Amino acid sequence: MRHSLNEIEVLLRKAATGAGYPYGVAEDIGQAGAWLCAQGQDGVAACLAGIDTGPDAPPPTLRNTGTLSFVDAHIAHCGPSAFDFLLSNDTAGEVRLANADAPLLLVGLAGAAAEAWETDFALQYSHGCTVRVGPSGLDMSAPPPVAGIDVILTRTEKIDAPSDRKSPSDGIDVDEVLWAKALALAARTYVPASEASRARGAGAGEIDND
Amino acid sequence: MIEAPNPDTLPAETALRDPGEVMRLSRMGSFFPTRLSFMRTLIRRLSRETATVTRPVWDIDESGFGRAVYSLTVGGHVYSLVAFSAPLDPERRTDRVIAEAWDTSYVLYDGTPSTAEIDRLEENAPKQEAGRFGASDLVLCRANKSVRVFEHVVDCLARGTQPCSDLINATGYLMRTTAVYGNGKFGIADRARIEQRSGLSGPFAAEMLAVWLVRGFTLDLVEHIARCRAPATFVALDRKFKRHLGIGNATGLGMAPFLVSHPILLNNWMMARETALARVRAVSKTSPEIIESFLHLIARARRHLGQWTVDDGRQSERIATLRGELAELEALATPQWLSEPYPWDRLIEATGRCSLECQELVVALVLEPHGDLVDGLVDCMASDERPRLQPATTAGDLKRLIAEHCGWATSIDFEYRRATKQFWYVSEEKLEPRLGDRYDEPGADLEMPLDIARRVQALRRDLDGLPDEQTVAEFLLSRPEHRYVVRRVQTLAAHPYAEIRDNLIGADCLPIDMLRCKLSFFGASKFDPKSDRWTRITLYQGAPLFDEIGGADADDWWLPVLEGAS
Repeated sequence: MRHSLNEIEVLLRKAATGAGYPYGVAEDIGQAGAWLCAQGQDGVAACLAGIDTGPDAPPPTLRNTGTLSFVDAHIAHCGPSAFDFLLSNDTAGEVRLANADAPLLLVGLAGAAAEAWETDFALQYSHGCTVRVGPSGLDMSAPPPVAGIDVILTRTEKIDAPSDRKSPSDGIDVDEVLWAKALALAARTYVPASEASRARGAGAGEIDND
Repeated sequence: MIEAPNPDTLPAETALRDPGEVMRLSRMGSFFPTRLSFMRTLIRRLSRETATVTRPVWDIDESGFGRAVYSLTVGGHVYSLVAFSAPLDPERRTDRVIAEAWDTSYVLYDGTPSTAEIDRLEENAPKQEAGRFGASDLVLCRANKSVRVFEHVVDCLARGTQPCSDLINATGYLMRTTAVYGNGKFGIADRARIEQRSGLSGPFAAEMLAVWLVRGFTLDLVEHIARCRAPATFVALDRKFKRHLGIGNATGLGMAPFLVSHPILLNNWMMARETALARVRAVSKTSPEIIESFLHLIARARRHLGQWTVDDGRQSERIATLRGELAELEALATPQWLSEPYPWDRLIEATGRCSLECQELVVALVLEPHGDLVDGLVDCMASDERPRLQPATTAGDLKRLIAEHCGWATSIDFEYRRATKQFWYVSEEKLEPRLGDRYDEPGADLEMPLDIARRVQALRRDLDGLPDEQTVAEFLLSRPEHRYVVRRVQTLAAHPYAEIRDNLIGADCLPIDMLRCKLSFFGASKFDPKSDRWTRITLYQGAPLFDEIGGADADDWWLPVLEGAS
């Protein structure tokens, strides 16, 4: 089924909230998913891969001058902080994410951050490929990275990434099974219906024949 | 592309009103439509283009059921309202989101729909939220008849008479919309599709266009049914009634969270309005023509208030007070008084002792004759900018921002139960937003993040003890639950009107205030509260009809009056 980008972003934000992520993190995940979809990537799958296990304790980190490292990087949790770190550093810094569970979500978070800050990022993978992300789009000639990979994330000089961005006005095809999974997570944020809620919660009657 | 204004050529301004004064629920819940309201902006645009509405499809039976299409060109693009009308069991007629059937349903379509596209929409539009839509579908909405007025008008016209003025005025519409969806809902086009298009780039412009076309359809429909019922005796509806019949709207809690979830947009709307006021207040000497226009408008406002009657006790009292206060101001603002220096600033000052409702009515009133000064501000009201986290900010800076901009939040005592009595939530029942009592109803663990003040306080507490030089990036690494509110506090520093400066979960929070604020920006009038959480309003009352676009009075319909009604 085809969905609008707004629909995708809102559902993924709700799904992340339903999975237990703080609202501000869920906002970033929703934006990342929509950004990926606009690039022709499977943003819904990427986000679900990231949020499926739910949030855990704050991730273990190692820090040296200019470097932040995450061991067993749970991207939905540590991804937003990874970009915070790079964007808060005047000096060239890097973030090392070992054993990343949702590397495509990291690309989406990079895209959303690149758009917001008009800056560029490089994601260098342990198998040798590099993905470059900028405000103008995504340069990812290799297949999407798979879970378990190590990533080094850096800010880079401005690039002219070839934009294969689809027109967002066309709508995006989303796998029905994935969509149903996202809906189920989002539904965890809804309060069950009750007669009392129906009668009191909206402060309105149920028949309007005047 | 809008060019940055040259500061040397901008009109003079007084200081803007303080956000701490403006962004209070009690004041926001007293707003009136202004000439910056989105409906006014759209109609001015249509008038500049002398847009012509055509009706290429009219396949409506004698009972008023079937389909119709209206088309017009705006900014070089053709848009069409595709309308469907069907029988509705009275037992199913409700204004609530939980409704599943409606008298009429509509889609604003991008272009001219083919028959196949109309067929597709006929399959889906009557289902509303349960239907699926595509990228050519810009707006989805529905409307129910005001049964009493609709049948009365049909009956009168069929018998060759005109309807009762008082009934027309008391209700003000033939149908009322109960939801108007845009921006990607249910698969319709993302706003990105139209946001750069001339004519539809403003906030809610597509939605406002759809509603104006719906209003025209309701007028055609009522005449069509009456004509079919008694062709020999039928008379057309008098133009003065047509003009006074807008489109009703029932608005509930669903609209309220929007103001919280779009802080930069809210800031821009408010900033435009406050800047407009500041420009008018800075006028040192006004012209006889503007004085004459103002006197005409204040008299009209007085008559409009006389025709604004509601059942709600609280609003009735406010209207009564307002009538008295406006009469006093009308007596004060003589031509001579207004000819003295800085008349509008003095008039605003004079309202300082009046009710908030009166103060905000006068704000709207003084903007009205100053289109040349303020209309350009509508270009500043849209925004696709998102609140952006500033990770390099230090904890010390963040504390200072909270101290400087969030006193309204940190001063609330959340130990007091009344301060947390309410919670906002989404019901699983058609995802209807609702408000619950935290201490009496289940679901508070799933509340929506509208508790901004409480979150600001929690953030402030957790900043205590941190080294001032620690960055937000480092702080959020271990405390990601504050990401949302840090972003909002930082946004507020650059967008002073971005937050409602009240406790939205307190026992005293009246959602109706949020609704009225937003609806006033749409251009709604005749607020008719039905409880503290939903209201009926009238849209486009007094607005030009299809064949009046481009006419001399196409922009002169602020607070309309029906001649002959009591």
